[in-house]
Amino acid sequence: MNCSAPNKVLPDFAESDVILVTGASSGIGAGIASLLNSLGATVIASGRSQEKLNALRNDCAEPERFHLEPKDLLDEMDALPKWVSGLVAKYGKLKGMVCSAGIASPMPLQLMELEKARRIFDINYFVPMLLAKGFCDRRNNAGRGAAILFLGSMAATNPLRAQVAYTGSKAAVVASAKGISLEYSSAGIRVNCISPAEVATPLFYGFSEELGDEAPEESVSGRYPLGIGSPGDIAPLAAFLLSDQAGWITGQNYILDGGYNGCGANW
Amino acid sequence: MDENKFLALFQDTLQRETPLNMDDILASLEEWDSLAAMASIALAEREFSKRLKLKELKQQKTVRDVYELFRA
Repeated sequence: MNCSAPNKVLPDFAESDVILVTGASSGIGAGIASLLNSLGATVIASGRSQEKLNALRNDCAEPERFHLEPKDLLDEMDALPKWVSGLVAKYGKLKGMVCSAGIASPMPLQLMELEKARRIFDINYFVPMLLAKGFCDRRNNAGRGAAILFLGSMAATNPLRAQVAYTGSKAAVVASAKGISLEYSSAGIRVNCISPAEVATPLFYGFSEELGDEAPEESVSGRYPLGIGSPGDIAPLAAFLLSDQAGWITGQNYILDGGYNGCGANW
Repeated sequence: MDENKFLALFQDTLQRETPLNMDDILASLEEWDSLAAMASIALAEREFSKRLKLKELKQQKTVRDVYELFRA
């Protein structure tokens, strides 16, 4: 038995490893898309902002393997599985998919409005599920070794106040990811979640702004012994979970929280 | 529904890349598993307004048998 350690920490990907990343125009999705590209993968970067996607490609390691697919995923949501099929016809079968697109908005229970709550569930839950439906179509993925990574949230297991719909939508993602992993394990498709705590992204700053918090990093830093997260803290684990090095891992939810659960509550 | 349309729909339901023939043996199809059977039950309900039980479907041997079951 050879148990020798790999000579580097991060995995390598081949050019034929095509990985779709949604929410790639900013924040965690952008960080993951850039890292995967630098590790050798062919990345399909989807996001709402063509301008931000262009900027990301200009800065990435291998722009010729970084394809832009600007899209508002809420447009014709029912047709998302077909959209995935279209990408496969254009770029090849998918080795991986990262569902990073999401929204957060303060919503205390007494201010919950059904339409706003549904919109949060649409983008945070139904969009990734429909994308997964497309990915798991056997004609669209690379077969054994293909992997889906959903972005959950620490809020799914450690809810904060005033996040009724956001918390629920992320908890639903984490639960469904485990169910999907059971459905597709026999096909060799792995399905995992990363659930970050607060990470310094446009989503975080937008949420804080809605709460009227002018110094959000200071406000939350007390919760995290290792400080607030950055997209660079999330991307390496994402790359690992999408790689063949994680070939025996499925149905898991990894909480990246800067020490919150370990000691943050009493820190 | 004629045979050609059924074959196209059934191929899509099985998420199969190569075309099907009416005489294909279900058990020999790589795509024919429990998820495909559940998807086929949904196909029968959607396209033929026919409600089937998994057991009935699993008793069929060929693609043609499925077609005949859906139309019956």
